Amino acid sequence: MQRIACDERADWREKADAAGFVFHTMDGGRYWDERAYYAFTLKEIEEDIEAPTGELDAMCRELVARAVDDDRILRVLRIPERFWTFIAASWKRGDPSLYGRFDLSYDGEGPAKLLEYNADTPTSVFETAVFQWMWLEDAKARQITPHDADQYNSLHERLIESWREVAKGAHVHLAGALDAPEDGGTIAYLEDTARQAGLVTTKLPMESIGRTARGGFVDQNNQPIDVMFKLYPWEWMFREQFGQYLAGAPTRWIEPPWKAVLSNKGILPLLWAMHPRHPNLLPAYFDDDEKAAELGDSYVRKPIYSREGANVTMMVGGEKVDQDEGPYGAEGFVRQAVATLPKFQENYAAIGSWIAGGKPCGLSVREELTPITKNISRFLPHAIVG
Amino acid sequence: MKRSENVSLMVMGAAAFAATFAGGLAYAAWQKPSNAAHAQPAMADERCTTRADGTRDCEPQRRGFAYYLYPRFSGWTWSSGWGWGTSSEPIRRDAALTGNRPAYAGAPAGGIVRSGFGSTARSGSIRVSAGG
Repeated sequence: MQRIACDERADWREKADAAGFVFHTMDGGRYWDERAYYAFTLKEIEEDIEAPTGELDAMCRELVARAVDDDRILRVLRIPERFWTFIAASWKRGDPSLYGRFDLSYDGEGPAKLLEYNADTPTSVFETAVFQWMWLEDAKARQITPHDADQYNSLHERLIESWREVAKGAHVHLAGALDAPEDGGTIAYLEDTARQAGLVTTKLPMESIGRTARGGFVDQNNQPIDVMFKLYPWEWMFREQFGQYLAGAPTRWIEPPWKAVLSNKGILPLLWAMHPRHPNLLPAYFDDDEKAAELGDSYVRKPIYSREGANVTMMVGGEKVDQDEGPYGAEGFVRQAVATLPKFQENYAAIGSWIAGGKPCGLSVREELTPITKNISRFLPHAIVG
Repeated sequence: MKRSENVSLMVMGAAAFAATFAGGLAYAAWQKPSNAAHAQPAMADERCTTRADGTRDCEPQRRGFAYYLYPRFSGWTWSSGWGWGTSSEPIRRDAALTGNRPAYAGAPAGGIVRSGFGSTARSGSIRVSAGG
């Protein structure tokens, strides 16, 4: 694994805009950054990223299977009790998942370590699946990478394939915070993949979802919502007004309700308990577990519910080395052993390992000047060069 | 051994893809013709009763069981912290939906209520994205 500096394309912004990648610059700073790329060997990809991702996915599914049969697990995950049946039924029906992203610490040497699992609402999917591939095509033409360079990236194809499986020909509605550029762009891209899978689609803002007196959810035009993709966290939906009606509605959800178990930092101590000393896991404990003391004064404290690094604190040797503010933490915290991200020059790099339709299928790299990856950490492309 | 399968996509239609995606962004502002007059089809998992005044009161069918009684997986222990040890009695779970009858009061008969989702994103909890 190497970070290789390179010249950016003079027209990359125009190309991004033309492709619909409108959130390439956020808060006045670069989000897409092609002034360097990460080079991996095929061995690193296959043995250190792809295979562990499949194993992590299997461990997570094992955890869900246990959780839906044990109230104590759902309780420690702070999942409201009135949704336990809803979640369990989803798992026992075998509701399929479209996609997810494991965030890993990996430096090309030791085994990749799971930092967290974005199981419910992963973003950065368009730039992973499409725009970094477009970069590679240009990079080969410009001789920035070897002419036979490749990319660990069949995410686009897997999404299309997965849509066919999860929707089974049904009309798909896609909802989220459409007015947020990143979310609107992500949903637009996922809608495109659904259409390429031959599905009829409709987008709508979350607040436009309607509910009939009969208890069904409908779209802006009062048409029943049979299959709904939502880029909107389950824990938010559970506490909002319509949350109480979820179980009574016939809508099938993507991601499915059982992903509410996995979209929770509480899985980190649970996975560690199930698979102690697994090479791809870090020691982790709930904040109020006396075993958390085993981590000493070096740990990363994460809210059970949080996104994009918010409210995460990194302690090393008793000193706070990084912290990101945010609105999360009311439900409690976990502590995870420190696996400081590898540093390339002044940049800390985190790996996103994608899975779609149950198959590991792609990689993304995010960079930050501080150890915690945050909401607008820069996205860099990658290539397989050996 | 190639690890990407995107070549076919790029060969067969990068321009078409970009156009589709850009069109997707414009899609948010596009409103389909209203189908509001169309009757809602009966939902398979609903049950309705007729009130004295002739109006109908519907509620979703429960998922079909009053409680869960699952065989425990063996090995979960609690007292010793997080770990897998000896098994104990099966867990009896009361129906999570008990007492969760949808509140129809305030909604017009046959009416559709909106804005029941989305409040968290509008509350300021969302910074850049509801995703992660």
